[in-house]
Formats: sequence, structure tokens, C-alpha cells
Amino acid sequence: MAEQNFSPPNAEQLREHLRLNPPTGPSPLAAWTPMLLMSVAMLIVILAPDGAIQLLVLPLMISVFVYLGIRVRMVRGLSAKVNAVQELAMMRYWPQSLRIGWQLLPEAKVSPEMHGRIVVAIAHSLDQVGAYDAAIIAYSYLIERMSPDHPGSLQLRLQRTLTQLANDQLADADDALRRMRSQSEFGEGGGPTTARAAFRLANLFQQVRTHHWDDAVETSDGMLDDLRPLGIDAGYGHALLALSFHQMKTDDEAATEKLRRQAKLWWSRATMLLPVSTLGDRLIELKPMIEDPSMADAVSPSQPPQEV
Amino acid sequence: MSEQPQSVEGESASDDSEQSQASIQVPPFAPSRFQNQMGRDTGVRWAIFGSLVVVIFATMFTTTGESMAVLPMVIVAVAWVGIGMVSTRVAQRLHRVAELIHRDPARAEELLADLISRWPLHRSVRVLLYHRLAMLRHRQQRYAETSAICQVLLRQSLGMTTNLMSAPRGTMSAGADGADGMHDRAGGLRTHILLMLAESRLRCGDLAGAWTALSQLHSAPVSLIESLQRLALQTQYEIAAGQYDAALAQIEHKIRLAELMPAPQCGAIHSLLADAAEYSGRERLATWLNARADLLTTAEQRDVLLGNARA
Repeated sequence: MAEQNFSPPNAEQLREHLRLNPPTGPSPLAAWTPMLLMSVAMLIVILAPDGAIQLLVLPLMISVFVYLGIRVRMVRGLSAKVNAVQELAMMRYWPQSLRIGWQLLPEAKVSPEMHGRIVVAIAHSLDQVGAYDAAIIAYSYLIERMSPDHPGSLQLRLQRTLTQLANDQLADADDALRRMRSQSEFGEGGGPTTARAAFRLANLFQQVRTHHWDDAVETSDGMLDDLRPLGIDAGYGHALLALSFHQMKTDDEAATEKLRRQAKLWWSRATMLLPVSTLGDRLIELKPMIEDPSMADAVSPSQPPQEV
Repeated sequence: MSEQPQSVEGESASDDSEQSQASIQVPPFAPSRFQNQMGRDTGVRWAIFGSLVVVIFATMFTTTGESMAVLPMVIVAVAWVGIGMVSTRVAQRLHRVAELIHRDPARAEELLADLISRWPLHRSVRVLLYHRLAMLRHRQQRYAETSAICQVLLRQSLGMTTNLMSAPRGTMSAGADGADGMHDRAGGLRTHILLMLAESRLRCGDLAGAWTALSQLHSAPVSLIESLQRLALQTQYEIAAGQYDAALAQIEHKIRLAELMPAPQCGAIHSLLADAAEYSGRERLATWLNARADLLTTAEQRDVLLGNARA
């Protein structure tokens, strides 16, 4: 029920939440308490070998072990909750992942690594529920705090670029794509990787957003192979390519027919991976194609066919 | 302290070409050697602990000067800390080993040979070292050895030993790229060992062994990533055992789960299920699954991932 009334936080709310809950690491007191208690116990043994004060040593030692045990338990509990947030995001329960991640962020301050994992889940969930402004804030927050050489950095920059394109921030996205294009990861040669696939998807998305249908069609060679690492999300790329073929105009009837066939082929691939409703929800650009009755026969089932 | 690791010059690996020819290698796994190492580690620990007790009692019942009484206690305490330091240093390098297993198996082998030869180690550190060795052998597709290590490790008590790393990549049980941190809970190590064991037995064609590991996996607590890996192995097992209807049961649910896997593993599962559908005469389903598998993976990727697992 709670999810029906769900509304994602806006960019300002997220910025404030992140500002109030930065990753701090464990408090110095928490880290040094066991050492402190142990030192006190040692001092008692050395300085007061006789006397009633010796009786304090045993309780002190027990409190150290109890304290360490409680801390280990707390860290494990937190780790389990962070895993749950990530698993919800993986299973595409975006509002739930976002809600729990949001609530968990203050608790995760003590562990920068877990804090980062939660912000990634929040960023991804915001992106998927269409809260693009807030998602860009979250991606930027992570990118700024990550070394550019970190393997996750490139992926996050690509995600942010895709979100910027969806959010009509075309200049920012163009700038980001141009900078990434110069990187060796996307040069010629080498097999398709998830990053390369996301980069191609971002380029395609940019061409569609700027109505450069002919550019999208011209660069469609090898697109099937290049998008494969995205898994079923490659369906978004196939759909954008189908749209590009669909929107291309020519006076030549034979060429038009050829374009039509290509549009249907790519649309059938897209809908085999993702339902039409999912594609339409995520990419409003697809509306003319979804509403075109002549494309209806190209829709493939995205669910296993039921045997009679 | 350390033993002498084996230097294998000019000897080719049994079933893998990735290893360097003149590198230090871990000798082929022998359960007796593992037991000896564990016994030696335990023996040293108990010896020091026993010395500590003796020293405490001795100081209580002797009348020597205080400074003389403290000296043996200090020596024993230093020895105890020394053991801890060896274990800590080895434990600190476990993450490095895990990274190298994916990037540079030959270098990982050298590092493991060095670390395994050290002693005395804490029990949990020794267990984790052999777990990494199992991962390395799995990566090198030396499945018989992987299986032997896993079986020995499963006989150990793993309750307090947690696995701070991801699953092996590049295999069917490895739908877990980016799963670091997903296994950092008690029980995670046992589950990971069972996953490696199930896949190794499948690759060796031992369906009974694979079934045993899978049935244990079904009673173990698993994370989402691990449940995806289990699904992949379960499907392979059912198809290898000719249980096509079982493989196709709850197909919508299985497809939904498969879609959460990385593309190659997702495509491979589709391909396996397509085989099952063909064998059970469900042509439409087989066509749909094959078409989807082609969109998600290349034939080469499927061959690499499935190996001899296809019916």
C-alpha cells in the first residue's frame, strides 16, 4: 500500500540527505575503546599486582570481548540490510529499494564502503522511477568521490550520461560523451564489454534525442553484437534503432519498404527482450512507433509462449 | 616459518595453458597434506596455550622473584602474538589473491604457493587459503582438484569463517560480476564452496556428486546472487540427467531470475532451457528460447560457458 503513495525525493531533498549523512567511518572512540580498556587492564596488572583492584581486570576483559562481539554483530546486521537494498534494486523493485536505502543511509555512515553501495542503489532506483534530476545528483556525488581509475567510475559516468539524455540535458550529455569517446576503452578493437555497450547505447540515445535518424541508421552495423553485454536492457537499444529506421523518410518506395522491414526487425528484437509497456514507460520517444498499427505485427512475446 | 613451495620448470599444467612454465606452483592437492598442515597449526597453538597455563601455575606456586616470574609469561605472550602476526599478514593478502585469480592466475598460483607454505596459521586463515586455491583451480578448469579441495573444506567447521570476496567469474556458476560484498556473512563461504563443488562435479560428469552438492545448497541460506548461480547449476544438472520436465517447470519464474544474470549467463540458461524444450517436444517454446539466447549471447560464449554441460 505504501508503495502506491510513493513519490521519489527531488534533487534538493536528496542533496540535503547526502549532506546530512556523509560517510564518516567509525567514530574514533568506537575504534579505540577496546584498546583503551585493554590498556587499563594491563596497567592494573603491572602497577597494582596485589589488592582488590585486581578484581577489575576480569570484568574489563569481559567487557572488551562483549563490546567487540556487539560491534561485529552490528556490522553484519548492517551489511545484511545493505545487501537487501541491492537485491531489491537488482530485482527491479525500485521504490522499495529506494525507500529502504534512504532510511538506511544515516546508519551506514560508519562504513564508507556500505554508504557508497547504498548511494549507488539509490541513484539507480531514482533513475528507474524517472526522478532524473535527483538521480543525476546521486551519480555526481559518487563520481566526485571516486578515483577516475576505479572500474566503477566509467560505468557511473555512462549511467549519468544516459540519465542526462533522458532528462533533456543534451549539452551536458554531449560534453560527457565527447570526453569518454577519447578514452581508450571505447577505441577500435577489443571485444564488446558492458561499458562499451552502454557507451553505444548512450550514443544511440543521443542521436535519437537530437533526431539524427540517419546517423543512428548509418552506425547500426554491429549494433546487435555491441549491445549484447547489456542483457535484456539491450532491448532499449534495439527499440531506439527500430525508431530510427521507422522515422527515416525517403521518396523511394523500395527504400522505404527496406527501412520498414528493418524497423520491424529491430522492434521484434526489442519486444522479445522487454515488454512494449516497459519500453514505452522508459522511452517516451517510442510513442509514435508504439501507436503505429503497422508495427503491431512485429511485436514479439517477451514472455515464454504457453503451450496448448 | 615456511615450507619450500614446488618449483615446476618446464612442466605443463594438466588441463590448462594459462600457467607460466617456470613459476612456483602449489603442489597437486592432497587431503593428507592439508590435514598435516592443519594438525601442525593446531599443535603449535595448543603448545603455546599449554605453556601459558603452565607458566601461570608455575608463577602461582613458586617463590622466585617477580621479574623472573614475568619473563616466561612475556616469552609465551610474544610467541602467541607472533602466530597472530603470521596469520594477519597472510589474511591481508587474501584479497590480493582473489584479484589475481581473475586477472593473472599464474601470479595467483605463485602467491598462494608462498602463503600456503607458511606456518603456523590460524585455522580460519588456512581454510580461506585453500578456498582460494579451490577458486584458482576452478578458474583453471581443473575441476577434479577443485572438487577434492571443496570436499575436504566442507568437512571443516566453517561457522566463523566468512568469505570476503566474489564468486569466480567466467563460468556458469559465476553470474556474479560485481558481487563483491555479497558473500560477507557467516554461511557465505560454505555456500560458495558448495556452488564450486556442484559445478566441478557437473563438469566431471559426476551427476550423483552434483546432486549431493545441489541438495545441500537447497538447505543452505543463499543470497540472490547465489540463488541465481544455483538455478544455473540446477538447470544444467536436470538437463544432463534428462529431467527435461523438471528443467522447464516454472519456466516464467526461471526466465525472470535468469534476466537478472549477466548477459552471457542469461543467454546460456535460455539455450539450456531451449534444449530441454526441444527434447520434450515443445517446439514453440524452444524457438522462443533460442531466439532470445541469440539476442543475449553468441554461440562461442555459450560453448565456453556450457562446456560439456549440454545434453
